[in-house]
Amino acid sequence: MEREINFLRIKEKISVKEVRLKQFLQVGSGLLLVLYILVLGGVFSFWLIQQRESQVVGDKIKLAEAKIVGLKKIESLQVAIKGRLQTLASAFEDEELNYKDVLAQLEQLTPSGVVLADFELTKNGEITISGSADNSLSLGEFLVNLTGSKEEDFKGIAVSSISRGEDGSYDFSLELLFKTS
Amino acid sequence: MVESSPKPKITKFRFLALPTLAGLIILILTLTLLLPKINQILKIRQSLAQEKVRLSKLTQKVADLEGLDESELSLKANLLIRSLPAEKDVPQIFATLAGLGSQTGVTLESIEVSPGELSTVSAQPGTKGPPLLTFEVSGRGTMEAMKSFFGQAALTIPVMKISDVSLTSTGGEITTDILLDTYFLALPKTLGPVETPLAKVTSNEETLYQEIRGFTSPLTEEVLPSVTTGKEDLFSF
Repeated sequence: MEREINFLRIKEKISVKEVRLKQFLQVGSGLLLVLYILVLGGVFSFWLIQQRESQVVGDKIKLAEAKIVGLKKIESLQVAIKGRLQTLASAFEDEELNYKDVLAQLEQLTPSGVVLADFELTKNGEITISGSADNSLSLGEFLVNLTGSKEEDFKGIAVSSISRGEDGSYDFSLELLFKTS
Repeated sequence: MVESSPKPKITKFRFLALPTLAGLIILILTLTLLLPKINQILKIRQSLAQEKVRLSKLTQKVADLEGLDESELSLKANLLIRSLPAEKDVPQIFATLAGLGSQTGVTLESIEVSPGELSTVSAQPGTKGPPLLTFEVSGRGTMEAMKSFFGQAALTIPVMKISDVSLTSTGGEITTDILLDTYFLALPKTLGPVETPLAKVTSNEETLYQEIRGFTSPLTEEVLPSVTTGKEDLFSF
């Protein structure tokens, strides 16, 4: 029995593959081009939208700036107020000593037999007092009053000097500190 | 032996023409249109983000400004400028101290100050707070008058602070030497960039303002009379 051998079969198979590849490349490249153009259109549209949005925001900024310029007087007043309040706040930051209170309290604590001659007070509350007392009892009472004041407003009391006169009176000088709040 | 002609070879690759053309078109469009546009989009988005932030700041500022009452602000600013003058108004401080003295019963014997240049900037800068100008005041009176003077000085417009006090008692009368600080602050020359947020008054500052509202000035028309300016002979009254 004789058998036929077809040597062209492989070649035919290759041809089919080639044809499919050619079709794929031609159709595929066309589709790719279309798809690319669509993407390009999308990018262009997005660019236009962004530009439009930027223009809208720019217009809004101009409008807001114009409004602010129109409200310039209010802004100037507010800036002046804020600046002054900040400055005053810093000036009052260490405003703790009430000179009137210090004098009033010292008066309250000074017994009748004691007379203050000199009194110096700094903003830090440092006080220097010199005066005279009729007798030791009055002087003692004054010192007790100072050291035992109810609110303990006076502290760091130091007697700089005490001298007794011929008439039994005492001259004294004190250094003390008024408690600042 | 069969030789293939060149023509069939070209026709063999004809199927590549359309894909090659498409590739070329895509490449050219990418280089000339797509990449520049993407670049532009990125730049627009970047600036848009910044502009949006700026817009939100401006919108907030407009809302803040519209929420303020101009007449109320004018009243506040007027009081605060009187409390903290824009210039070294030395005559006004002299008049204020004289007014305080006459109100409280303290006889002012001398008031001394070295103001230097009359611009606020040259005022002596304080260790803390605003530029200050220190007055040396000497006076005499009773203890009650002194206490009243110290009390009133702390509640007076323009704002002043006593820094040192010295009292001497001589025969029932008290003489005093006081160092008194007064403050000045120049008004801002510019408002700065338009998008600078509006500085709001804090609750502490509002409390301080309410305190200052309670301050008074001893100045009256009698104390500080209005005088006409200009004279022909500078060396005579």
